[in-house]
Amino acid sequence: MKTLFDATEVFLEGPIPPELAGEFQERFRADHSVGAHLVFLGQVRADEIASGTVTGIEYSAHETMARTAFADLVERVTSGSDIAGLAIRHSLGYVPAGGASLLIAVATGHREQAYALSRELLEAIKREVPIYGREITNGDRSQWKVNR
Amino acid sequence: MSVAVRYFGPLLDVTGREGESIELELPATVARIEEEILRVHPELRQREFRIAVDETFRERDEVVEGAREVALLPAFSGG
Repeated sequence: MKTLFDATEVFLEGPIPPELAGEFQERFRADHSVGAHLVFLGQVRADEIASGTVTGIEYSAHETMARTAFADLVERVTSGSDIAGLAIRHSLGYVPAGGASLLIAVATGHREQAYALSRELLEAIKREVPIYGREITNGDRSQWKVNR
Repeated sequence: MSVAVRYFGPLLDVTGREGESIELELPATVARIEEEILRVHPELRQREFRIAVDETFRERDEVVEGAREVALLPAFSGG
C-alpha cells in the first residue's frame, strides 16, 4: 500500500515554492476518485509588533521530534477518512514577509472532507509540532512569535 | 552521567546557547533533572516549558533511568 505521508520530506530550507501546489495536483491527476484538491499556504505577514515591522521569520525546530509529531497527527487526523493524497511542507530557516512557510495540500473525493481535514491538520500542526518562529524586524531586532 | 541538554525557541535567548552537556545523577525524577538544569541557568526559573527525555515528553514526577538527551521546549509557534 502506498504511504499517505512521509515525514522525512516535511521540512524545506527557506520559503516554500508555490509551484509545489501544482505539482501536488499533477500527482493525483490520474486518480479519478479524487474530486477535490485543497491547498493551504501560510504566508509570513509584515506585522507591526513591539520591536518594529516584521521583515521575515526565522524558523527552527526540534527536527526529529517534529517529524514524529507530524506523522502522529497525520495518522490521527486522517484515520477513517477517504483521503487520497496529502502533502505537508514547513519551512526552516529564514522566510521573508510575503513568502510561504507552510503548505498543506489534501486530495479527497469531495470538498467537505478536504476543507475539514485541511483545517484540522493546520490546527494540530500549530498545537503539536515543536517548531519555533523568531520574527525579525527592521533594524535587526527580533522577538519570538506567539501562536494565537 | 553526561547528558546533552537542548534549548528551543525563546529559551535560546535565555541560556545564550542551543545546548550543552550537563552531568546528571540518574536515575532521577524529571523534577530533579530540571532542578540541576535550573542550577546552571537560574534565569530559566521565570520560563514555562515542557521537558522531553530522549524525544518523549515526560511529567515532572516520572523517574528517568537513563538519558542521552533532555530537551526544554516552550510553547510552539510554527505555521
